Amino acid sequence: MVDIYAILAHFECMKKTMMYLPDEMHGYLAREARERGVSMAEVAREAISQYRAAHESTPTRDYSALIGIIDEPGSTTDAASQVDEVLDGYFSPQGTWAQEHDLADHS
Amino acid sequence: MPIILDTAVIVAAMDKREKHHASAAAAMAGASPDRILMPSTIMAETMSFVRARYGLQYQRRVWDSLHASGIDIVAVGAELIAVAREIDQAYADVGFGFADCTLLATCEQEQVAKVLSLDRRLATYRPSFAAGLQLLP
Repeated sequence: MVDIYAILAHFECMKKTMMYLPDEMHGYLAREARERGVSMAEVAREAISQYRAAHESTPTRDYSALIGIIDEPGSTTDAASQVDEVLDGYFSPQGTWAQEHDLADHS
Repeated sequence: MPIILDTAVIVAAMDKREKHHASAAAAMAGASPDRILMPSTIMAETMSFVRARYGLQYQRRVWDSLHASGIDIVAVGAELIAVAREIDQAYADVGFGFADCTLLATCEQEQVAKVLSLDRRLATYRPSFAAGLQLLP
């Protein structure tokens, strides 16, 4: 069988490296390679590729997308400092939520 | 260094009419490229606030923008809720309330001492991993 990686190494497309692994990790790598019929190096390459893909898929952060998106007309307000009060009013027995759900206390 | 986001700051940053709009917007913009973490309970509170104050159409707009912004939503599960209750008991005299206690529990879980909040009561909290919380803006 042609070892494509040996060929790539020959043409200097790959670097040979050596690393120390704990016994347990080495045993796992050897078993995995044996069961799949591939080399230990191949299993290691796959694992590194998966690790790299997972860590390079960090989502884009653009917090400016939220700034100023509420563009209602009106004067200065400080409702942001009164979150509890706004929610209390909305969910009160006579509040908008109760009216929207036909639950307003009409007594 | 990640930073944790509270409802008041995101609301102030979103609404140009808000008294603290400029400072909240600057604080959020200045956080990038670091991670902003938002506990799922704070997201729920924010979405309820937006629905209550601005209506369903704005809730949908904020929903989309939150998703696109890259803010990391931290799931608040049973373990965090239990920690939050312990915080509530330890600070019963302050009376943080459920949402703020889950925010403080998230600070503990993520070991984050920087918080974007307008609620200065949070400064009374003494985290286990730092001398105190740094509140911004």
